[in-house]
Amino acid sequence: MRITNFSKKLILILGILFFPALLMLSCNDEGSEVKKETNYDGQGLNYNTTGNLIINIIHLFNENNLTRGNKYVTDALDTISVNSLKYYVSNVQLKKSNGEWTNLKTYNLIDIEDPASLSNTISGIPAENYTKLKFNVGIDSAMNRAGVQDGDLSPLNDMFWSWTADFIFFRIKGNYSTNKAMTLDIGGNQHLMTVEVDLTTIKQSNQTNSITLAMNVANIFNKPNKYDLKTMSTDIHTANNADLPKLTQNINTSVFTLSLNK
Amino acid sequence: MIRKIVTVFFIGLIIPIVISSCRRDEQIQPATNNTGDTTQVFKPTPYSIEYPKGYLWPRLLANTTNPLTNEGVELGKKLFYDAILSASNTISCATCHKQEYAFTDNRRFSLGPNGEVGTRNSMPLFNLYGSELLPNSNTHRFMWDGSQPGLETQVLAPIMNPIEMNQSLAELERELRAHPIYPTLFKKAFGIDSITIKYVAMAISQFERILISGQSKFDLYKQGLAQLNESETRGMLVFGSEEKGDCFHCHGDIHFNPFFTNYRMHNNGLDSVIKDSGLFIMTGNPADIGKFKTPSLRNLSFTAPYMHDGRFNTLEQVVEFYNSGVYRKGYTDEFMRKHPEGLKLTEQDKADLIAFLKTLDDYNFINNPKLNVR
Repeated sequence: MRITNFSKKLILILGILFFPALLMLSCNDEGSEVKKETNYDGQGLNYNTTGNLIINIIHLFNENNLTRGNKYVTDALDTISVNSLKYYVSNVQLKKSNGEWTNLKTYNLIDIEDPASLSNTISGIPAENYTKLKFNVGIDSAMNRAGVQDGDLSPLNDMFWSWTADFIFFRIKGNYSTNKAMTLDIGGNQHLMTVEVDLTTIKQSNQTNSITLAMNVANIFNKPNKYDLKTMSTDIHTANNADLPKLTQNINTSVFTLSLNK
Repeated sequence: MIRKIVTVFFIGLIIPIVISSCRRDEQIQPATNNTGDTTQVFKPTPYSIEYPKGYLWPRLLANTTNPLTNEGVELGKKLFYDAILSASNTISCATCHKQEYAFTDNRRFSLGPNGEVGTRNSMPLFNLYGSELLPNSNTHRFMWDGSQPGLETQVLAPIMNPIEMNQSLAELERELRAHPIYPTLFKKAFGIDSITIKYVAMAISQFERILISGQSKFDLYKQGLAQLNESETRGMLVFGSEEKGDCFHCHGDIHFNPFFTNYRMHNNGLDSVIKDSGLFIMTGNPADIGKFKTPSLRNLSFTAPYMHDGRFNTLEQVVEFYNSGVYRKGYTDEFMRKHPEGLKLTEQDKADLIAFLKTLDDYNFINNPKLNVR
C-alpha cells in the first residue's frame, strides 16, 4: 500500500514537472501538421490535427465487474458463469460534423483473459469533430473471404470455423444451470453486428483522446430479447442456427455503452 | 561535322547503357547486413503458366495478394507432399491426393491417422482455378458440399479436421519454424522471417493453382493432332445431345468449356431419401438439400470410385445411374427432372459415351514429374 501511494505521488510530481514540456512538444507537433478548423462546439471527440483514439473496454454483468467463473442470474432466471468471452471489434468508424463516417479499418480481437486486448489505440484519425462512434462486432464479408490472415485475425486465435472458412465473430463460453456447458459462437456474414455509440455526452480535444466502452454481458441474455437457456440453443457452432438473430439483436442494441466513469 | 554528330550521338547512347548495366549488376549483388552475413534477398521469380492448347483456356484470376512465383509453387509442392502437416507426422496432402489417381485416392473414403473414415470421397485436384472464376456472388467454390469459398482457407480444413490430419495450427507453426530447411524456403518465397499459417496456406494454394490438366487425347483431337474412333465420336454426340445423354448442362459445352464441369452445386437425384444433405448443412436453405459440386469429367479412368460418397466403382454403373437410376422428384435438379422416363440410352450409346469419356484421360498430367517430389 505504501509503495502504491508513493508511486502515485511520484507520477503526480513527474506529471506536474513535465506537463509544460509535453504541451510544448504537442505545440511543435501541431506546427508541423496541417491545422484544421473543426467548428468544435464542445461535444464529442475533437482533433485539431491528425490524432489517436484509445478505446478501452470493461466487462460488466449489470452494475458489477464481470469475474470469470462467478455466478450471475439472467432475466430468464438462468444462473450462468462465463469462462471465455472473445469477440472481434472491427471497422471502427467516427461520424464527422458533416454527417459522413470515417472508417479507420481496424480489426481487434477482444479477449477477457488477455488484458492487453482490452485497450486498443487507433492512430491516424483525421482532424475533425466527431459525434458518434460505430463499429462491427465481427468481421466484414470482404475480410471474411480474404484468405488466411496473421495477428488478431490468425486462425490460431481459435476464432475460426475451418469447415466453412468463417471467422467466429463472437464467442461466450461457460456454464448454465447446474454446471451444464454453454457455448454460443456467432459467425456467418449474415450475422455481422453493428454497434453505434453516441459521443455527445463527452468532451475531449486532445492529440490522443480516450474512451471506455462498457460491455454488459447481462444484456446479451436480457435486452431486448430474453434468451432463455432452458429452451434456446446452448451449443451454437453454425451460422444457420435459428436462435442467433436474438443474440445478435441484443448485441447490436443493448450490450455496449459509453462508460463515463473511467 | 557529321562525324562529330554521330560520335556525340553514340557517346550519348553508350553512356546510359553503361550506367544501366552497372545498375543491373548492383541489383544482382546479394544484400549484406552490418555483420557481414549474406542475407536472403526477397526477389521471387514470377511463375509463368503454360496453358494447354486446343481450347481457349480461361486465364487464372490476377491475384495480387498471393501471386504465383516459382519459389511459392515449389514450397507449396514440398508442403503438399510433407507429412509434417499432420499431428501424427504420417499423413500428407498426397496421402489422399495421389498424382497417379489425378490427385485423389482409390478408396471410397480416405483413412485418418487412426483408421478413421469420413463420409465423402477424396476429390481429385486439377483445374481448381476454374472454380475461382465463378461470379463473386457464388462462394461455393471448393469441397463436395461447396463449404469452402477460397483455396487458401480450404487448405486449413483437412489440416485441422480431427479425422484427417488433426493438426494444431500452433504446433504446425512451431514445427516448421524449427525445421532445418523450411524457414529459408518461406523467406525466399514470401520474404518473411517467421513462418505463419497464413503463408503455409498461400504456398499450398499456389501449388494447387498450377495443377492444370488439359493434354488428353480429346485435347489433341481439338488441335487436329489426333483422331477419335467411331465409337468415341458417337459418344461425343451422346454427351452433347439433349435427347440422349444431356451431360453438358452441368459438365460444360464441349466446344467452349475445357473444364468439363460448371463448378456449380446440383442435386443429381442420387437418393429418394437423402442421407447427406450436402450444401444444405451449411446454408440451411431447403433448396440446397442434397446439392453437391459438379465434378469434372476429365481423368475419370484414374479417379474411381465415383460420386460424393464413392458409391459407384465403375463408369458403367455411373452411366446406368444417369440412364435409369435417377430419383427425378423432390429436391432433384430440374436438369434431371426434365427426363421423367430416364434417358433411354441404348447399350451402344452407353458404351460409346464411356469410350468418349476415356478420351479425356490425361496421362501427361498423372505422369508429369514437375508435379511430384520424386
